Amino acid sequence: MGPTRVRELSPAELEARRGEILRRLGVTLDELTRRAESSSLVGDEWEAWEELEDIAFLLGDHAA
Amino acid sequence: MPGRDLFDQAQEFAAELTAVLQASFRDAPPAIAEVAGDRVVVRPDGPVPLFAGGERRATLEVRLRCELDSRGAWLAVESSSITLTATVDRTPVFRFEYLRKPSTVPSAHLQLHAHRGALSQLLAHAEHPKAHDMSALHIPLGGSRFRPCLEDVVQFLAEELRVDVLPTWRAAVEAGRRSWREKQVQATVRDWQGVAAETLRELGFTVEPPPAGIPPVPPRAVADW
Repeated sequence: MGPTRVRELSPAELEARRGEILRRLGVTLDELTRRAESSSLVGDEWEAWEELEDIAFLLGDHAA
Repeated sequence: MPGRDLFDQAQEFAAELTAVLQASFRDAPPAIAEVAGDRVVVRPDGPVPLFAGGERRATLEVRLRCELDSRGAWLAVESSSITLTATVDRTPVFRFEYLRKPSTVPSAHLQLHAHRGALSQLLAHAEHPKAHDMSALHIPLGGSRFRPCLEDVVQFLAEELRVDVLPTWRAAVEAGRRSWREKQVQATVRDWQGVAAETLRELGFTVEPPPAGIPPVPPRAVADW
């Protein structure tokens, strides 16, 4: 299980993670944002969207 | 203890999340706190699998997005979400969400991913832009101070949805809920000092106001829903 951890992330690491998520899904951020706003996310896109929202928050963006 | 290190506070949030999840659900991973600048995201370090009758049926996701307050002393929750996702279609069943600074929706709300023809009809008559999407509705849950905590959702999963839980779940839920409610009561008393003082007087306490008098209830304490 491992212990609770605290990890510091740089903006470059967060941007890289964002790119990796979008590559995995094969969509652009704009496309996924439109799908989220129209409540038409499916399957794994839900979890990916939450991860992108985390990244946006940590980067100080207003939206993912 | 203002001024405590951001990392210590992030660690504490993560430890509290780990304690309730690992005491309640088998295979729940420990929580991780990811920090960037003065912002922190706390979440389980991987999906929390939920079982029913021994079979994997769903996943629980929990996220706390936190930021140091304006004084740079305390980590405050800017938003949080607790999502139950069904294994069968990997789509949320419900989402308990909280937004510290909501625009138009209730700060604490529940979104249900379900269908009900009569509700769709009602919304269509009201020209709702998403008449056929129940999850577009934000069902209010009592605002910032009176919203349910993670422990309430865990108990709901255990007792109403009957997911498999560990024997230690109830003690962890009640300990976590006690801690949560103590903090919420403290915050509520700060907002409603006159009401708190009067209530204590009725209970036999001697309560004197500070020299500056009792401050008015802040508008946000009434407007928040």
